[in-house]
Amino acid sequence: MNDTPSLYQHAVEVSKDYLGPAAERFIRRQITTHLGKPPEMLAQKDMQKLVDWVRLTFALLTEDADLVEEYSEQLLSLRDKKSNLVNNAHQA
Amino acid sequence: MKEQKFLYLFIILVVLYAAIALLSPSDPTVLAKYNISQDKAHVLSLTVVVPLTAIWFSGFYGFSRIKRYARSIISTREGEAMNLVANGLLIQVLGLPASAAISSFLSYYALKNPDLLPMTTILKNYVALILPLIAFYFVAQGAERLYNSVRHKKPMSFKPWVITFIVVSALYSWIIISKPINSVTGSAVYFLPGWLVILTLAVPYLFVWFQGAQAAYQINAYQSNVRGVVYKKALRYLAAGITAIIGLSILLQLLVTISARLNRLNLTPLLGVLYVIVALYAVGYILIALGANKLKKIEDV
Repeated sequence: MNDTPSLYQHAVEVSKDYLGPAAERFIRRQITTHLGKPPEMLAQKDMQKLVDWVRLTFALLTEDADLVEEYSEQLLSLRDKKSNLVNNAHQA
Repeated sequence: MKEQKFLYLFIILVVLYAAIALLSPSDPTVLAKYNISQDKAHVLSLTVVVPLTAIWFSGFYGFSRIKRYARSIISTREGEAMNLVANGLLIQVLGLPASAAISSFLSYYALKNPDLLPMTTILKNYVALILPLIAFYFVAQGAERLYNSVRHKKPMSFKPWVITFIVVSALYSWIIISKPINSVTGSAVYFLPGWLVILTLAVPYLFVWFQGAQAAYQINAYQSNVRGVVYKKALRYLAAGITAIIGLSILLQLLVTISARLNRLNLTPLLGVLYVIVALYAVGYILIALGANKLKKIEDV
């Protein structure tokens, strides 16, 4: 059984630093509403689109532009991290 | 919607209070003392009833916002906790006009039937106690659940609480059972023996205040320790509002229960303080509404 956290779970974990207990509900909503797929099916190729939507919606919750950018970059970095993990796995 | 039913009940209670306060005749001795007619007294009553009603409506608004937020996350752990807090605030909000209406009616009844003054006084005291007791119970339950849902950097220490409450309990009990200043008859203003006043009024009030203070602490500790920069910021308003409401309730109850002991002193400053406290209730509930709206927005975007 694969115990590695999924990309979705990583995204939720990152979001908790900004939205606390509301993080999972927020990310789940963005994925289901704007990406039109179950949250658990979030893939690397979806991350840019997700981040674009998060940037828009999170900006409605705070006037701190730096915070919005920080959150977006944290999410985007997940795509790159996951990419590196996949590449390393192939090379091995 | 359920909130609508509560709103109707709230409006009925407010109208009932206003009707009793404005239509019942004033105490003739008071009219004679200030040399005003019954009509003028009724007009003066408006200066109390209208702002009081406005403040109570702000309370209902605050409750309706937090209830709406709690409903939107009801299936979550913090949702259940927020719902308990909201229910406690509902009882508090309904209790304000309810106890004012009952108190006004009992005062009028005692005026018409002076022999029943002890009974109406006893009833007024217990009515004033029972609603905050129930309200604070629910708020405290909700606050405890929120507090337990996060890890705390510094766990709550009970020692300062215990010491403070021992001192407060001793002082408060002494104040309410000691002889009133300038008591003509020498009898206690509660029309109850001292031991019964302690057991059935002082102890429950102290319990209510302890629960309230603990709830305020726990909600603020939750706000302080929970994750989420934006979530915490929104919660700050809610925590501040709930703390204000609890603090003001405690202060109001304390002043009302000891004000009967001060019947020799000029009560005008005390009345002024009471009205300021009641006005600050509106600020507390508006903070609750602001916080709840911000938290709801996180769930909506």
